[in-house]
Amino acid sequence: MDNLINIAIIGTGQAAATPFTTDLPTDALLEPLSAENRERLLLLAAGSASIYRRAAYIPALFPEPLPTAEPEDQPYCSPRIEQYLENLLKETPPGEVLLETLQLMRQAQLLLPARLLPLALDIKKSHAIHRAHIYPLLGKRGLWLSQFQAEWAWVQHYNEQEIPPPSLLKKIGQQECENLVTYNIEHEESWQNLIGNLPKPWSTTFSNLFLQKFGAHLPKEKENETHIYSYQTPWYHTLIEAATAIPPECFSIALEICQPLTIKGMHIYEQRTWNNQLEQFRDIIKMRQQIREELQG
Amino acid sequence: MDRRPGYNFRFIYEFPEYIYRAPTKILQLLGGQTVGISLSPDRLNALAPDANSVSAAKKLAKSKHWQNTGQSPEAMWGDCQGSVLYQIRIEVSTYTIQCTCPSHKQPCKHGLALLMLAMNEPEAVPELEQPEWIDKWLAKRASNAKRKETIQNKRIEGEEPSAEQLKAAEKRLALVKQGIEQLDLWLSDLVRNGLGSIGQKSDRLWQDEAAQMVDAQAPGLASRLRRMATIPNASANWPERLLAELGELQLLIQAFRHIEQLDPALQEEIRQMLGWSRKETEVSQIGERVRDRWLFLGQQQEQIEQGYTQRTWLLGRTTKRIAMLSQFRTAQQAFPRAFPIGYEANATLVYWPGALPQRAFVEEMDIILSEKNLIKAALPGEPTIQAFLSSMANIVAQQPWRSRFLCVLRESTLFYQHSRWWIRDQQGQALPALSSDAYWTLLAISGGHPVDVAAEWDGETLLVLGAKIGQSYVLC
Repeated sequence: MDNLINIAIIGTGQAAATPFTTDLPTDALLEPLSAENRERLLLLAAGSASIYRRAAYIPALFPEPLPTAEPEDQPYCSPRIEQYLENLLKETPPGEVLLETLQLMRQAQLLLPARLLPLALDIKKSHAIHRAHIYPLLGKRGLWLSQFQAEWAWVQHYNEQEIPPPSLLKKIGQQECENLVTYNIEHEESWQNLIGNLPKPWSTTFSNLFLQKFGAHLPKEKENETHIYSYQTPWYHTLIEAATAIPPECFSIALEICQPLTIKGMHIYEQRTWNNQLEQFRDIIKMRQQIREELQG
Repeated sequence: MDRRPGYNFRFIYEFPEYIYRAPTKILQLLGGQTVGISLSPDRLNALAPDANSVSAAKKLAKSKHWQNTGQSPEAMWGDCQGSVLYQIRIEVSTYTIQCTCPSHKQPCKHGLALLMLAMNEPEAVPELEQPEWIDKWLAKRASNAKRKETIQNKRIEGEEPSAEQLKAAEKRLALVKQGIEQLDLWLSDLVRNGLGSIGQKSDRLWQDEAAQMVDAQAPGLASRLRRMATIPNASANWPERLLAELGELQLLIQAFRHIEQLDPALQEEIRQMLGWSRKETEVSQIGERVRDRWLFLGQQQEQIEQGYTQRTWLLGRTTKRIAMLSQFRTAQQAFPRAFPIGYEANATLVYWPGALPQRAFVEEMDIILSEKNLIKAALPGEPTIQAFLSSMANIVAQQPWRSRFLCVLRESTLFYQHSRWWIRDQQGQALPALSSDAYWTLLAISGGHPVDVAAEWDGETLLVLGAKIGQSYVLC
C-alpha cells in the first residue's frame, strides 16, 4: 500500500511506470484490467486494498490480565443524592453546598457512586478543600480508577494530614469577619464583596440578621413608585451566596422571608427579575433541606 | 391506530420508577391504560436545534410561565407568556412542535419548555379533553399525511409506469451515466497530478465536483465527494485515507459500468449508493419485514454539510438481525422521530432492499416503558472479537462498500492503555476505541470487570454506544 500512496502523492504523471502492487491478494484481481489507464488502475488497486484490509482487520493482542477494582466495604449514596451530587460536582467552581453534602456523606459513611467518580477525581488542585472532602468518599474503586489518568494521580499520593480540617479553616476569625460585615451593612458602607469572603456556613446570629435586613429591603406594596432597577443592590446580588451559606437552623425563616413578590403596580420586569432570584434562593435552600433529610435520616 | 409507516409508535407507561439514567416520562391516559413517551434529558437535547435553545427552554419550563396547558394521548398544548402570549402545540407521536412565536428555530424554546414542563411537573400539564383547535390541527395533519401516502402508493401500485415516467427514468439514467464518465475523468486527473498538492487547495475542488454530481442526479456520489473534502490535512495519514476513499469510489464507478453482470440485490445497493433513493412508503411495499424483540442499543449523530444525520442501532434478540435507523435534520430542526434508546421493544422493522439489508424503518412498535423493558439481560452479541471480525468480513464480501457495522461483544473489557481506549475480549484480542470522556464513566461503573459492549465499528475504531453492566444498560 505504501507504494501506491507514494505514487498517488507524486501523481502518476510524474512517477516512474512501476506496477501497482500492494502485496495483498487483491493484486491478482487487477491483472485482467491491465488495459485500463494507469490512473484508474491505481485507484482500483487502492480501493480493493482498502476493502480487503477492512475485511481482514487484525486485532491487537493484550494477553496479560487487566487490573480490576475490588468490592467496596461501604454502601453508596442513594440515587437521589447521586443526582444532586452530579449537579454539584459539575458546578464551576465547586460550591459550598457540595462541601456540605460531602461532609454529610462522610458522617453517614456513604461512598460516592462509581458513576460520579470521574467527575469527583477531576476536581482541580486549586480546590484543595473539596479534594479533602472527596478523598475519603472515593472508596476502593476511586483509588483503582485514579491510576489511569495523570490528572488523577493526586489520589495516589494524597496525605490527609497535609490539609487542615475544613472546619478549622472556617472558624478562624469568623466572628470578626461577620462583625465587620454587620457594621458595614448597618452603616450602609460597601459590604457586597466582603460577604463573599465570609467563612461558611455563616453563624446563626449573622444569618438571622442578614435575612431580617434582606426582608426589610424587599420592595413593598406601599412603594409603588419603586423604579425598575430596585434589584440593582447588594441584597439582590448576594442572595444566592446567602442560600449556600446560611445554616440549617435558619432554613425555615429563610423560606418564609423569601416568598415570591406579588406587588400591585410593580413593574412586571422588575417583579420577574426579583422573583427569579428568590426562586433560585428557595430552590437551593430546599435542595439543602432534602439532602440533609436523606443523609441524616 | 394510525397505520402510516413509522408513525404508529405506542408507548405505554406502566408505573413510575426512579432510575437515574432511565428516561423521564410524559404521562398520558388512554382507555384506562397509561400511555406516555420516553424522553430523557439527553434525547430532549437531541430534539433541540442547539444548546442555547435548551438553556432558554429550561428557564421557561416553570408553571408560572404557562397557562391553558393540557395533554391528551395525541397532543400537548399550552400558552407561554413570553414578550407576548405564544400558543404551542405538540403532536406527541412524532414530537412535532408548532408555536406561534416568530423564532426561526425548529423546535423553538417554547415547545421544548412545554416538554420539559410535562416531564418535571406533570401536574402542570393536566390530562384534559383536546380543545377544538388541537382537534382541527391533528385532523389536518392526518389528512395531509393520508393524501401524501395515497399519492405515493398510487405511484408504487400503478401497474405499469406511464410513458412519461419511463422517459424520465431513461433521461435520468443517461444523465447519471454521463455524470459518472465525467467523474471518472476528474478522478484520473486528480491522480495524474498527485494528491500531494490537494492539501493546499480549497475545498471548492470537491464542492464543484459534488455540484456536478447533483446536476447529474447522482446525489449519493455528491455526498461521498463532500465527505472526502474533510479528509485533506485532517490527520497525519490523510493521503492514505483519501486514496482509500477515492479507490472505493472508483470501484463503485466500475461496478456501475458492469451493473447488469451483478447480483440483483447488489445492483439495488449500488443504485442506492449512487442516489436512486427509495422512500419509506416504497420500501414498505417491497422491503423485508422482520418482527422481533428489538434492543435499541444506541445512537450516533454526525454533522454533515447541510445538517446532521443520526444512526440508531438495533439488534434483534431472537433473530440476531442488525438494523440501522437513519434520520436527517437540518441545523435548525429536530430529528423527526425519537426512539426508546436503552429499552427492548416488540416491533416490526422493514428493511431497504439490498445485498445484505441493514438500513430499516420501524413500521410498528409497542413498548411498555417500564423497568422490565429496560435492557437488562445479556446482549445477544458475539463471544469473541474474532467472531465479530469474521461476520464483518462476510458482510464486506457481500457488500464491499459498507463501512459501518454494529459490534456487540459479550463479556469484554473496556480499558485505557497506551493513551487510548480498547475493548478486549476473553481471549486477549482487542480493538481500539475512539476517545470519549463517557468511557471513564463506563470504566468506573464496570470496575474493569467484563461487560457486554455495543459499539459502532468503522473499520478502524469502535465508537461505544453502551454497555450492559450488572443489571443495567449504561448509555454513552
